[in-house]
Amino acid sequence: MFARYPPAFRRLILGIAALAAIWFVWGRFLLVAAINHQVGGGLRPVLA
Amino acid sequence: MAEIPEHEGRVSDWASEDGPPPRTSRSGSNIRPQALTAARFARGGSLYLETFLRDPIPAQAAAYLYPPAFAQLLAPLTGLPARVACAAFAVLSLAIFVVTTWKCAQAGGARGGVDLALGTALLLAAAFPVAFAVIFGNVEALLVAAITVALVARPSRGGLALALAVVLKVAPFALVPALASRSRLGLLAFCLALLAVVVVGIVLAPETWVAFPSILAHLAASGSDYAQNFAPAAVVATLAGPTAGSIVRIITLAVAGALVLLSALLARRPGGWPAALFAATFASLLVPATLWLHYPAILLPFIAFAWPRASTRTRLGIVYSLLFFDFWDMAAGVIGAVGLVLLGAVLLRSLWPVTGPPIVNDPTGTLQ
Repeated sequence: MFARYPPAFRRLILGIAALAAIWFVWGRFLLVAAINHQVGGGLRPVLA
Repeated sequence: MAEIPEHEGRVSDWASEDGPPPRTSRSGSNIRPQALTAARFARGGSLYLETFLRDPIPAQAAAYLYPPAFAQLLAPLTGLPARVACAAFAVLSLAIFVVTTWKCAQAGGARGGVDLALGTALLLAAAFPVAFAVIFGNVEALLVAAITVALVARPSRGGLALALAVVLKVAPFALVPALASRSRLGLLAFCLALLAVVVVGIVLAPETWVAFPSILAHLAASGSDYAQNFAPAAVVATLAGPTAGSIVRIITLAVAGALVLLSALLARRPGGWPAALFAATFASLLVPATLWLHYPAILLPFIAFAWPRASTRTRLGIVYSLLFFDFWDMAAGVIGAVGLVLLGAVLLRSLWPVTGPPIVNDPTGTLQ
């Protein structure tokens, strides 16, 4: 899909996407868990 | 059930105390009660809560519900402080996800190097079920290790790996017909390894192995109507009532049965093994009445394997399906169910063995 772009550009995009995913998926998950913990629901987020 | 206090300190110190087996607190990881129970079990204590042998077990019961062998496997963690044991299991899980994703992508045709490293990082970061399984310490990483070996290694090693999977969790038994259909040696390795684990387990703690079928029966008898449960039947039951839920449950089991049959047929076709193993793995997700958001993490090896040769449309389909899981906090059950069905369809189509004449690269026509 990205084969036609130069390697450096491709890697930059992949790297930014990976960092964004770490924040959006893992960071947000831990954030929700931590807020839930603050309001007395335990570290486990609402979904589990 | 009386509330059992949370315990700090070394796992094995607490495990020597009298009283019922531990259950998790809301602040703990899922591996914590498992490790505590393992330590207690190693000292001759009971593995399962006594009430679990008498009454239906709530599907979200935070206590030991796995087959007995998992408790024995956790023994190395029990000498550590509880927090360190949880962290060690999370690190181990993450390492397994990284190595297996890398290996599966290579087996699927990816070249190593920076692109593969970044691709692995992106897939693992973007897949919410992986985050869930790692952060809360579930068995998915160990299952992924077994599935990866079954996918990329020779059948005898695959048989040994699947024996490990079925002593951790019962659902991976759905993978055995495909293994048996592919190779008798693989089936033999599976049976011998399973027999060895079960015989040693029964010699060490016979009453626990006798109790386990009763645990399974009581677990099956319990309700599964949780908002976060995204088993299709549970989602439909929430939306349209219990009758519709029961009908969908029967359909889901029929689909799972058809997928297991399909896996046995695909395993005999040339190049059909990845699709066969995927169909069986997907069936193992449909069999239990509950499906939590960490369960689809066992599909990661197939995503990594399919990705290098997948068309742009397939890749977009995979990304789109994974995004459904990432929005778990909007409407966990419905979203998860839609994402799972989409991901299953995209991956099965992508891994399906291509039939046709062999491709001969002969531009000059010298072979004709």
